[in-house]
Amino acid sequence: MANRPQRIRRWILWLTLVWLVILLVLSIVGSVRGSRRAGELFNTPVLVAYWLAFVALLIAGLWAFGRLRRRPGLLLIHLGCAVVLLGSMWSSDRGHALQARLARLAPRFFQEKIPRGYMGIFEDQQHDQVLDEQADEEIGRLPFTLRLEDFWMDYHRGPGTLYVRRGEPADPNAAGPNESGDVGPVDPNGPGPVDPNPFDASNAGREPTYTTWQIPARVGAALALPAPLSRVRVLREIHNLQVGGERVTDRPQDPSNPALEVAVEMADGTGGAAYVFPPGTPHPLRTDGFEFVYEPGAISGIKDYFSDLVVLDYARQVQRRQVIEVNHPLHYGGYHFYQSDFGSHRIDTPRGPQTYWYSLLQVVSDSGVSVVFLGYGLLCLGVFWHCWFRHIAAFFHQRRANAD
Amino acid sequence: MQIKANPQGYLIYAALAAYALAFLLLICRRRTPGRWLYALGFVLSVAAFGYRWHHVRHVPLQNMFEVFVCLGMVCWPLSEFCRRILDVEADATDTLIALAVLVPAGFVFTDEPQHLPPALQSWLFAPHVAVYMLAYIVMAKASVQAAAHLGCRLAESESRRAGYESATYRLICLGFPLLTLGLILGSYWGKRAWGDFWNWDSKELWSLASWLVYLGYFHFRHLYGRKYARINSVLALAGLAAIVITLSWVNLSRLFEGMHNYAA
Ligand code: HEM
Repeated sequence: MANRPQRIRRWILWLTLVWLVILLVLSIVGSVRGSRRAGELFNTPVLVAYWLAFVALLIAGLWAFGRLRRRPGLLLIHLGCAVVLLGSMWSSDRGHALQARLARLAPRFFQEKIPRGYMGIFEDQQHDQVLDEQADEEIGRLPFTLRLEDFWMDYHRGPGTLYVRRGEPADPNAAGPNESGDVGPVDPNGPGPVDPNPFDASNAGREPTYTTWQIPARVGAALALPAPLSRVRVLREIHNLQVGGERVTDRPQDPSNPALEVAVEMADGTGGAAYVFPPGTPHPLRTDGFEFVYEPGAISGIKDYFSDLVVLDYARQVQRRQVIEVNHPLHYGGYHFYQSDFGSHRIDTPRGPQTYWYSLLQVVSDSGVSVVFLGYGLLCLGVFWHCWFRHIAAFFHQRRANAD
Repeated sequence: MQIKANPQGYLIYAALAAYALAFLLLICRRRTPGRWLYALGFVLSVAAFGYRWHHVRHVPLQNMFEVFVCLGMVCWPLSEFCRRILDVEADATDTLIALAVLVPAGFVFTDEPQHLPPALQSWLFAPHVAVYMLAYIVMAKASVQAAAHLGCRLAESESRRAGYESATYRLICLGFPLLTLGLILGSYWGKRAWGDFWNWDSKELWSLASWLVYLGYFHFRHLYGRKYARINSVLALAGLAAIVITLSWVNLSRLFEGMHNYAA
């Protein structure tokens, strides 16, 4: 039997229209109330009944209309919608409450999970505590531990400059060294000596006694230098260099110690990496009569946040490390971990006040999410099939039939 | 009012001039030169978009200015597609749509370049917005057909009225999958960037509302066919009204607070 009686089908379609109008009105009401209160509205018990009735209506439609089952596009659309709704319900707070209850009945198949929360972890520390939205009260613990190895930021920055100065009197007749053309970008100001020395105020008004070169401080930029040096190459721009123990890290706080990591190559083939600082720092980079100075570009905003996380799952003997950033969460053990915020605490220690940085992670259970995405896939495929591909296929079919 | 006396502005104003001239020629039934000018306007708006892309160094779909330049750019290819493939010919009103969406880019919104905030640095950014731009223009074209259907005098031939009604349906069938894809990509992106595939944010709710209006259109039209053809067209117009609110009002007004506000 393909179709149910006409009367039933009309009723179902009318109910569908009514259901769509209700959802439309609620969406508009919700948009005025703001996202938080809209979320509460759509999760009230009455609305739970509404969502369940919607799924029932979709199933009734599939039962009553033969075409909804026979046309692949229509089948995928309506099935996909039901799958999305069921997945959303499973992933909601109420869905999690249901999972917790089922976990007590059948712990082999269900798991009690924290729907969502926050974790604040200090650098070099680890724990499993999940906090509420205000990040002050514990709402649960994870079955594994997270450790924050490092937290840092990336900035939008204007172009910086690397200056190299040779500590000999300038000789206008000597052939100056050239910026090597084949490595890295060429400075628009042109290669060669820049006089007078731009970074040493004591030079103002005096006859230039040094030869200075400059290149943009971009990764990969390089400058050829006279012997005994051969070349300097920019490796990395560091916004706030701190040396702690054996690590050289880029700290999140206001960049106060910018540095440029460069590779200095000697004419005899030796050489190595070194750090170049802005003028006036206590550790200027000097070698073989050359002095290096880095002028950082102006900062115009934060580009991204990063947390270097390690999962320590003792029960499953797993240790996994991943750097997360906005748009790149960590997925482990049924949870997603998102970069949410960061902050610092000043603590007085015997060695004086110290600032400790922490990363605030958003923790969200992944229950139901893959079901929702499966539904999205079905729905999308169905809509494109029904509205587009079906007609494209028919068009080519017709053309072939005409050709025969 | 914001006049842009820079190459970016000149390109937009040149495109606007071409669209305006094309419109005048097309309503005077000078079809060939009109169409050429419409195509020229397209080339100029592509240049404006490309200039912007080069200038800000990321896909320029971030703020209202960039979005409206993009809208002004996609009109011509869609007109050509609809004319050649869907048999919906509406050159004059299409140039009017192109004008209407490019005017805000030229005179209303600021072209101050901005950095991409971290949440927008995702591969989903460009397809999510681009798909919506295409859908919006298609739905605007559908509304023109629906309005023509409603504006038809009863004395006019039945076949002409039915022609407008079915053109509306064909255009909505073209735009609806794009609208669906935009919604789904946005939801998937929301999951990656904010942790939830649905945040009940006002922009999300209005894009859902637009989508629901078209769902209502499909099911109502299936229920009654052309028996209440005028209601079909009213629903198509209501869909565009919801889109206009989604696109502009939510971003501009302080009535709604939400996560999409940085797009303003
Ligand atoms: C809730 C109960 C629903 C019922 C009972 C229902 C029923 C129907 C029926 C009977 C048709 C006509 C099929 C035909 O051409 O013969 C149809 C078409 C369609 N439905 Fe639904 N539907 C429901 C919900 C939805 C939802 C939630 C969506 C959202 C994705 C949807 C999307 C569509 C689309 C895109 C069409 C195609 C319209 C056309 O080709 O003109 N439906 N539906």
